[in-house]
Parts: sequence; C-alpha cells; structure tokens
Amino acid sequence: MQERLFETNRILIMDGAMGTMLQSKGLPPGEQPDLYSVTHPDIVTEINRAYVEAGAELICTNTFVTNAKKLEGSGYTVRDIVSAATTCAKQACKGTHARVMLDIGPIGEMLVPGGTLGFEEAYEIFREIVVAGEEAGADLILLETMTDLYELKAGVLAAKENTNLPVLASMTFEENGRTFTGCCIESMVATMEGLGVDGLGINCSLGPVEVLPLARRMCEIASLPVFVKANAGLPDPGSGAYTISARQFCEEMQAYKSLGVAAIGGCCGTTPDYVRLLTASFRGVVPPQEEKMRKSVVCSAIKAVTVDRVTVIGENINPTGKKRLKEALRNGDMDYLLEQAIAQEKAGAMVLDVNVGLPEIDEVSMMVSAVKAIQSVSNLPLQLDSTRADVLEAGLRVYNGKPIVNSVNGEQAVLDQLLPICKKYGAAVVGLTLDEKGIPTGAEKRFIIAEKIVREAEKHGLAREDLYIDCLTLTASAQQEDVKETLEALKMVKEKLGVKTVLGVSNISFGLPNREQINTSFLTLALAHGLDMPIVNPLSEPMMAAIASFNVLYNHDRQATKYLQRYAGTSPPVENQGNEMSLQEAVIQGLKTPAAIAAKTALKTMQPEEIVNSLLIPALDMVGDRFEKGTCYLPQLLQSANAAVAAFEVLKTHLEALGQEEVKKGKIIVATVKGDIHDIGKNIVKTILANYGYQVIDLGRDIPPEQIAQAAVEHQVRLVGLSALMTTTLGAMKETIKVLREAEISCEVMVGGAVLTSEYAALIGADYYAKDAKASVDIAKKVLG
Amino acid sequence: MIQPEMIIQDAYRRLGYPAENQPDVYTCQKINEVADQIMTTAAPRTTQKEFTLTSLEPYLTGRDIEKHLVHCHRCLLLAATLGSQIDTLIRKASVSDMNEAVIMDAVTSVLIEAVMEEFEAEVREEYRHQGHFITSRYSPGYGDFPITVQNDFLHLLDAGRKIGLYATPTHILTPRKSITAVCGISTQPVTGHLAGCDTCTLESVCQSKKEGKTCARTLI
Repeated sequence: MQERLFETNRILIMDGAMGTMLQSKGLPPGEQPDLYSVTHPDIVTEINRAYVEAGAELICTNTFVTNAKKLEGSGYTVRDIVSAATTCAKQACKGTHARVMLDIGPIGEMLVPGGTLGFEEAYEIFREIVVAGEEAGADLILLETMTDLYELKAGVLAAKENTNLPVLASMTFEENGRTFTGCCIESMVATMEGLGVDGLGINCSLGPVEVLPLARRMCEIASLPVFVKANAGLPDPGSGAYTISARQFCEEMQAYKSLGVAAIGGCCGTTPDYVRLLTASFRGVVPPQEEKMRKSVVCSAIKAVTVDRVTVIGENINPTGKKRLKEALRNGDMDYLLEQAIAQEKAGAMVLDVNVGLPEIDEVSMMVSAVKAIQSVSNLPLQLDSTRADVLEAGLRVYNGKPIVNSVNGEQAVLDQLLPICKKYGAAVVGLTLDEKGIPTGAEKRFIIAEKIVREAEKHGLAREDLYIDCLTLTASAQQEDVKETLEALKMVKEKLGVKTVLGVSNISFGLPNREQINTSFLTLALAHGLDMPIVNPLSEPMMAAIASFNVLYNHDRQATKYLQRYAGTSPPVENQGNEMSLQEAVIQGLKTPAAIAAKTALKTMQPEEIVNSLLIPALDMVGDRFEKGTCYLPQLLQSANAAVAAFEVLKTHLEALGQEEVKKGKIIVATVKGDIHDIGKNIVKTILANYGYQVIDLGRDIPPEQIAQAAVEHQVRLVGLSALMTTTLGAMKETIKVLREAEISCEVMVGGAVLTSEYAALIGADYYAKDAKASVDIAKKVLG
Repeated sequence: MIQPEMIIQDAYRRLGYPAENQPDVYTCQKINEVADQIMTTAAPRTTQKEFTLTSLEPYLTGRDIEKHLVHCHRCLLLAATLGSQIDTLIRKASVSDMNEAVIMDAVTSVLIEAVMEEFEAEVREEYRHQGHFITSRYSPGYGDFPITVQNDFLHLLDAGRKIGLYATPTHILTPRKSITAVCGISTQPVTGHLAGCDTCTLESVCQSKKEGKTCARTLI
C-alpha cells in the first residue's frame, strides 16, 4: 500500500483546516459547516482549490461533522452532503494529481460504556458515510480527530467492509500521549495495524512542538506510514484563537523531516499559507527509512502489554470444572464474571483469558456480552478462548483493542477457518501443537506442528510476533515421561521459530496430591525453558510468588524492585485479627473477615438457613433501622452488606461441599430505564436485596422496555425494580410499566430515583415507590416474602 | 488550589453525615483512600466561550435564567469534566465493593464542583481585570432552565473536541462527572439570581428541604 498511497522517497503534503477557512468566509459560529457544500459549493470548492494550489496532494472533503445524527432535522441526508462535498473537492483537484479524502470526524456522542451509543449503531452511522463517499468518488477515507479507539474501530470496520477505498486513521492526543478517553499511542498503533488500515496519524489538539514527541513515538513503533496534521499552536484560552503564524508553524515542522513521517499537513488554525510554506520547505526531502522495532503487543484501548517479559494470563474465567461460573453463565449473571476479572487484575494478571463455553447457553451472544462487560471494568487485554469460529469472530468484532485468540492448532481445517478471522480483526493467536492425530508425544513432532502453524499463519498475513505457541502440558501422573518433552518443545519453538510461547500450567498436577507444589515447580521449569505467557490462576499466591522469584533470579526484575514491593514491609490491613466476635456484631460493625470467621463457627451448631434467618437477617434489619432513623449512614449500611456477603460466601461454600443448593427467596429484576445511565442507586438496591437472599437479576442501565418485559417473562419474576434519575427519563419509566402491563406480565413494579415521588409513582402505574434501598427490601418482603 | 481535605469534608456531607458528626474510623479511612485514588485518576479539563446574549437567546429559556442574566449584555458558557477514567473506576468499584463505589461517587461529585468553582473564580478574576463583572454560574436543569439545552451548549462550546465532553440524546453529560454552566457578563456589579427551592423540580421530595436546608449556592 505504501507505493500506492504514500511514497518512500518524499513526504506528501496534506491540506490544512476547513472550519477555520469557512469561518473566515462568513460561516456563522455554531452553524453546521457541512451544509455549506450544498448551499455555498463555490466557497467550499474555492477553499479546497486554495489548498491544492498551495501544494496539498491529499485534501479533505467538507464532511468532518457529517453524520446521520447531526443532520437530523436539517432536511439533508448524509448522501446529499457527502456527494456535494466530494464534488467540490474533486472539482478543486481537477487537472492535478491531488486526491480527495472523505473526511470523517467523531460522531459526537460517547459509545457504551461511557455513553449510550452502541458499537453496532456507530458502525451503521459510519457505514452510511463511507458508502456515500465511495459512490461520490472519494479516493480514500480519513477518520480523524478520534479520541475513542472503539469508535475508530467501528469506523475502520465500516470502511473496510463496505468500500474498496484505502483507509487512514488519525487520533488526537494530549501531551501525555493519551486521548481524552485514555487511549495510548501503543494501543492505537497495535489495533489499527491489526485492522489493516493504510496509514496512521496524529492530528488536532496540539501544535507541531507538542505533537513532535508523540509523532516520534508513533514512527518508532508503527510499521505503517505515519502522517501528522498539527494545529497552529495551542489556542488562546480566552479567545480560542490559534497563536502561531504560518512561518513559525513551518519552522516548527522542520523537526519532522528527520522523523520518518510519510505525510504532513495542518489542522485547526492553519490556512493555505501554512500549507504553501510546508510545500516549499519539504520539497525534495527524503524521509529516513528506519528498521522498525517489531514487538509482540496485545492491548485494550488504555493498556498495551508488550510481551517482553513473563506475562501472566489469568485463567479463571473458564467454566471447566467451576460450578459457580457455570451457574453464573446459565443465569446470565455477568457480575460474577466481572468479580473474577477484577480479582485477577488486582492479583497481578496482565491478560485475562475469557472462555464462556457451555453447551446449554448461546455462546456467541455470551461472548459478546462478556467481552463488552469485562472491558467496561478492566483495562487488561483479553484472550478470547473458544473452539468455535462464530464465537471468536463475534467476540473479536466487539473487542476494543488487540486481543489474543485462543486457539488454533495444526489441523488444516482449523487453520483455514480461524486464521482469516484473526487476520481480519488483527488479533494475535495461540497455536496448540496438536493436529488431526492428537498431541504427539515427542518434542520434535510438536515442533513440526508449531512450524506448520507459523508457516500457515504467515501465509495468511499474520506477523510472526503475533503468534504464541502452546506446547501443551500433559499430566505428570498419567504421562510422566512426556513432561520433559513439553519443556523441550517449548525451548525449540522459542529458539528456532522466534515466536513467543504460552502454556497452561496447572494441568500438570492433575491426580496428584499437594498440587500447588508440582504446579509451581513445573511453572519455574517452564519459565526457565523460555515460557513467555503462563496461563495460571493469579489468585494462587504460590504461583505468583514463583513468577516473582523467577523475575528476580533471571534479572528481569532489576534490583528486585517489584519483588520488594510485593513482599517487603507491608503488613496486611488490620481488620480485627484477635478475638472472635459474634456474627451479628460483625455484620453490624461491617467487618468482613470476622463475619466470615463467625459464620464458620456458627455452622458448627446451626443449619445455614437458620443462620441466615436468625442471625444475618436480624443484623441487617438492625442496620437498616438505624439507617432509616438517621443514626447510621449509607457507607455503614453498605459496609454491613459487604460483611454479610462474606458470611453468605461461607454458607454457600459449605452447602456446595454438601452438594446442596442454597435457598433463594425469589427473583427480582432491577434495571435503569432506557436513556438513563445513572446506576449507583440501582446498584445499591441490588446489593441490599441480594443480602436478604433475593436472587437479583440486574439488567443494567439504558434498558429498553421490551428487554425488561422479555426478561420478566423469561425469569418468571414477580417483582421488577425500575430506576430513573432524570426528569427526562421518567417517560421511559412510564413506558416500561405500560409495556409490562400490556404484555399482561403478572409482576409488580417498584420504582425509585431522585426525581420520583410516591404520587408520581402511582400516576405512572407503579405498584410501589421505594424511597431508598431499605424501602425496596420492605417491598420485596411484602411481595415475595 | 483544590484542597483534598476540603473535598473529604464535603464528601462526608454528601454521604449524609451531618456537620457535627464525623464518620466512624473505618469509613474515614476508606474515604481518605478513595480520595487519594480519585485525585490521581481525575483529569480535570475546562473550557469556556463568550457569546452575545442575543446569539444565545434561543437556548436561554425559562424565567429563572432570565432573572439570573438581568443587566448582562453578554454571557459565558463554561464546562468542566473529570474525564472518563473516573467513570471506569466507579463502574469497577460497583462490581467489587458497592460501599467504595458510593464513596467514589460522592468524592467525585464534590471534586467536579470544586473544579468548576475554581475555574469560575479564575474566569471572574480575568473579567474583573478587564473591568467586567460576571454573575455566579447557572447550570441547565436547575429551576426551570431546561436540561435539554445541554447538547446545544456542548455544541456551541465545541466541548467534545476541546475537553472530550459529550451528552447522551437524553441530555446526560458523559463523562458522568461533568458540569456545564452559564455566567452573565456585565459592566456593573452583578451576582445573578440562582434558583431557589420553590422552582426546583425536587421540591416535594427533597430531603434537605424537609430538614430546612437548601442546596442552592449562596450568591457571591
């Protein structure tokens, strides 16, 4: 692509600002500038032409703000505007070799989870624009001034799936090298290169001086052409005017000559004068061609992980052998999954494996929900784990960043099916050294399979640094003589193929007593044989300790800084370690560990159900009463709830060990209504209701009435709790109740939220008004007992 | 400069603790920890823009804002946000520890107010230097000033590009911990007229009002 779009022996010139020029030609502030392409095409063409005459070889259409949302009520369609703007730009290029870039800016709303715009909805919005752009004759597509990597991904996918045009992707960074939403340069580069764009850029926000270190970084790590469109300096905080002249801008751009950029232009505040000076100054400049650092990087939008030292993959989100996780997946209980994700992150996992495969659930939609939900609370990169192509593709599509796919193997059919998907979505991939004939015993044979996987992957366009080979751990109790073969294969793969390695470790000790001892020993051996990414339970302290020790012993952890951080001096937090207190006392005081200890003690003499009804609930009631009377406050109420949860966990584990189900009191749905994203109140209610033994199904926030009704039918609930915090979203609450009633769902509805009153609750047909979490418990008791 | 100690004291109030009542030791400790974390995660950004009153007229609807801008010929739109990482932090806490989430919510609400307060004071000082006076700030959603102008304000401010601030179609600011406001500009000393309880949409349910208190800020 480099030959076609950019050239290696010179730096291309791009145009400058459109908005700045339109304003100088009379566009009133606040007015939508893209309509000018229809109403004043001569002015727009004149601006485009001024840039071409100034030397710009890539010019933007006047469509930065154009999208269906912003055009609503304007009387114009996206097609009208894009077509008019492209015609202007093409007119301006006539007779020259300049090319037209369909300019696309941010949609203007935040995507989920920050806002309410869905990824799929964003994709559709972009699709409409790019299709219109190609139809109108644009030469390429420029997505620019993006701050959200997820939004950019939606745009790139839309462009690549619906047009044949080259795509350039540009984001706007602050001086700290991150966008407003926290995306870093490394994540942008890894993700966009993976998705197969044709060039990467930085534009807007800053002037040439401030962009320089960011551009240098991008040039260092990107293997694609890099372009820069900086602002005319920083804006004056009062007037908003840009401060540097064309001459100064050009002077500041001189440093870019030796950077290795493929193209330069201007953004806000720049005019054809700026571009003219750049053209003259950059004529004949040959950009240096430097060898790129090729690194193994996986990322979320916020966090890029370079696999250049031991990188722990957390294995806990995988239902195999995990009863609680299976149950959570069956019930669609995303909270349990998220708890696992956060706990692993806290324990030091650097990547999280996500496997949601259960025969009785819809794995495709569960993978999509799980990826979205986990990415809303954790910045760790994910490893999507499934054997099914449709599951992996669905997960890859909605993933924000560059994930790992777990896994392919040496079976030709698997390689043919999965590698194109990995390539399309730019994922790194794990290759298992097994094939149609199973797992070969000898190291040499596993190496041969690894070699095949690498060959096939490269044939499909995947880079070697994105391949992770898993030489497979066999069980020491059953195949003792093969344990060494795994280690041997690992070493060969690493040394001869130059790929990174990954290995699930805990399988080694299956069937043996004192498993952790075998696991840690094997882990250390594997690390010494060159294992890069152990897949482990990061909550297992001995495993993490083995890794921390290895890092000290192999001089990865210089001066044992991290080891000392982890183990020196810090004492565990004090939460009453001495004498045991009663369960009620512990819950009332909100102390987790004593509550768990007291619950264990109580189990010696009482049945779990009795403990709940005669100890836990009365204690919670007492705290609730105090809260109601104003003698204790919300943090204490919730701290008591936390303590009660710790006690419940003990009872649950006890029942599980006996093979019994815990007794739940009844199901309640909670949700924040459509259009509203306030969920603190709803979450408090959920926590307290769960404390009292109710099975709470939390649908989340911004939930359409139909989804709530459907869930009410599906789970056969008798109580639905709705939350709305805005006068503007009370309508959606009313609508939800109406839908529930019309569908003749026999459930009662309680509503809550700051703007509600009991009168209004009655008016919109709710059965109950819950003024706070305590009130919701009283209502639940009444309805469900 | 925003003092963490002030933020913590205000967070106590916001969590419901009366002025005469410090929370228990554990809660105090927790709030301190949360405040530290918030201070390092928050990325406060602000933006402002001046407009003539006539150019903003279509958006300044309602009796309250009209009263607020008496004697003003121009006005200022202000916006501030703590950034989207704060939202992620609160979402994360909501999963693992609801108590922490509630405390974070309180601390960040107090912090964004403080950020805006400081920003307003700076702007006021700048205008004072030029011989102008500005009113206190007035935000959409207070009194009868409709929250529906939120999206228009952000558009006028170009707030998405400048500070990464947007609104949902239902006019909720995202990132969540953000504020927009209007200040009147005048050649004579003005204070503005903030909404009182009688025009507040929460009038009939407000706990503060039942306790004889008001959340309306005192005029400068």
